[in-house]
Amino acid sequence: MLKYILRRIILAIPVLLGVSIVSFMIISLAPGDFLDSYRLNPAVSADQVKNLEKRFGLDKSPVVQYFIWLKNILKGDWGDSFTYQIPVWDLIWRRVGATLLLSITTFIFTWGIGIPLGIYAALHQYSLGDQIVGVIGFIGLSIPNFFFALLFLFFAAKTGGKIFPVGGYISLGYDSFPAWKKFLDILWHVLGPMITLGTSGLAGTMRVMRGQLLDELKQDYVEFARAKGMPENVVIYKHALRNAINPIITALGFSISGLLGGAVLTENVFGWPGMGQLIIEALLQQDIFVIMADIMLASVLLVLGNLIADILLAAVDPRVRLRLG
Amino acid sequence: MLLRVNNLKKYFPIKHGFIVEKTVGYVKAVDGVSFSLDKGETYGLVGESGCGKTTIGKTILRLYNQTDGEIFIDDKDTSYFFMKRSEAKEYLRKHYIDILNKETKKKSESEFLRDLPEYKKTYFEFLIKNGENKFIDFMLSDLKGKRMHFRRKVQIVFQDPTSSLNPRMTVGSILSEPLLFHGIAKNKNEAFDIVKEILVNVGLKKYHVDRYPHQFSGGQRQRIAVARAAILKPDLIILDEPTSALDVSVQAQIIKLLKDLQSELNAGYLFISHDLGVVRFISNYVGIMYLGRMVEYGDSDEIFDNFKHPYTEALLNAAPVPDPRKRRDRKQFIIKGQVPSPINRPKGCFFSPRCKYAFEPCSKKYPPYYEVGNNHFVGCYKYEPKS
Repeated sequence: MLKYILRRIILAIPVLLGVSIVSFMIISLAPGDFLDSYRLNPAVSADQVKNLEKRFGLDKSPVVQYFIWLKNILKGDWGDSFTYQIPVWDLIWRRVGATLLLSITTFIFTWGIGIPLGIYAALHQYSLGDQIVGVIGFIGLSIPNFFFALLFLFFAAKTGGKIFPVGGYISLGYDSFPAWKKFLDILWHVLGPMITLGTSGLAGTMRVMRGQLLDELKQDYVEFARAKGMPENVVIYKHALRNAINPIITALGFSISGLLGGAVLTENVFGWPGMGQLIIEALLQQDIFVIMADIMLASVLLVLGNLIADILLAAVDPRVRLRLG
Repeated sequence: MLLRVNNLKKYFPIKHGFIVEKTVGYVKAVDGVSFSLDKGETYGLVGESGCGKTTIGKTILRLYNQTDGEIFIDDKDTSYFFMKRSEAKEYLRKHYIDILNKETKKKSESEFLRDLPEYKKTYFEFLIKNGENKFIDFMLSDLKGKRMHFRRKVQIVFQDPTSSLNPRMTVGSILSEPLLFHGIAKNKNEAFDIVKEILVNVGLKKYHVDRYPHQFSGGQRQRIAVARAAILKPDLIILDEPTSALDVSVQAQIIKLLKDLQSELNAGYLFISHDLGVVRFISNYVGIMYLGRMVEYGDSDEIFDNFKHPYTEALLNAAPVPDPRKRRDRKQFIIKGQVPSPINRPKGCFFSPRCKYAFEPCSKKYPPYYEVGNNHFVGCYKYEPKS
């Protein structure tokens, strides 16, 4: 097992290198660079721009820039943000808390509710409950996140911010709250973006779970389990559900890669200080090191997520064997 | 008698409707089938696909509840075991109380009891002695225990051994689960000992207990499925086309295994198949089905050598003969047209629109069964005794 994991990690290195080359080149191919606004500014002299170019390394060709960036990465230096003039890592680190909070709660919301709802829908196929759950699911799938967020904020504002807060990360008096209230306050604020982000994922999970379980329930071995007298609970949870869970685990692995990505539109609407906002800003400013750091982070998480999903799959399904060869 | 099936019916409702669903008709998969079977015997059910063979099997196993009819196992009424309480009460009213009330109007109780078959007598005696309410309470008491017992006594082997074994469980856990659940083995070790024994019995090896189903060949998987059905030592095993998914050489092995097991367990087999050669080889009795009803039934040899019904004639002649010198002129037996839909069946005899012997009464009423030989019955007007 350890050997397998090690091998997968070693194999991931060329993948990550490839990702970094392609994305670095694409960003460099975009017309202009971070200093364009300075160049157009009459108050900044050409000499000053030249100095800045030299300082940021923008006077060299993209290929040379890439190798300098790579060399620094290997030394553990992720570069400085052009806009903020602080190390990229510090900048990301400040946002990680809010992003992780949002993505983990969304994660729990999506899987914690989606899977049981899917099971319910499958066990009560075509019943009223199934139909209602299905309709809600399709609404969740088809409504755009930003629109849902606006509706949510509209509702929060109409009710005077008493039921849900009108955006933001913490309340005004946050610093004076006792510790338990601080915790609850953050939780209260995360509800809005969490529900907005979670609904579509929830609907997807639910539909997949329902379909898979229905497929398995039609199999002969399930009928046989009934015929040999197993109670319905054992038939469903021990026999059918264990076989239905595979695609859910694969999807779980993929969703790990999204943990730190942030959600640009939702974060913007709710004023949530997560990574999404940082990235969109960096993209607009062509703050190349921030973008690269984020892309690399997402790629590493994607590789890790897939690895975790594969290991989980092998753990729960005897038909899947991890092959070293 | 191990199994008695009286006038078994299974209708599947067809539902239509956008928001509120209405039943617009029924698929009459099984419509009035009766037969009986004793321990150590095999009853073969034959018919083309869609004629209701498998539905009969699954209804006897009570994966479906029957629409109407009685199923007696070991001369005990098991028909209501898996119904909801209200449905079970309704069943008992219809099949016992109402019949008693109706019959005793015409004749005395003792006369009525005398005319009853032996296996029903005890039920009616109890009903007469204790009254309606006590009878229903008695019949519905300890349903859970009765269900458990039923599940131990009746088992099934499915057609496709790949989908009938849970891919997540080892052979050991597949086979030991029912042992532990029914309390035959007290703990896992004891259960695994029994499992190993039966694995050897069905021609597998002891070390196969820790393997998963996907590590076996098709024939081996069917052996596991047979072992799973046999491990509870059931009285009745329903074999739902157990050889259709296997190639011919493996088919023979499985048939031999089934025969050996039968003499060991003294179990009754309900053998559902469309493979005529296999049915003839294994069955004591045979029923030929067409559109949810039996057209001809009786002793196996009698049916195969001395078939009477036009449909049986066509069906048996459709099977290829392995001897090229004995080639028959098969064209004369080919039946025209398609099997009618079980939703909208023809009036009278269901086979009459395709039957070359059809004459006037055939399109009016479904024929009764006429005895044409020693334990050989045919549902066809052609054999109506001339009076």
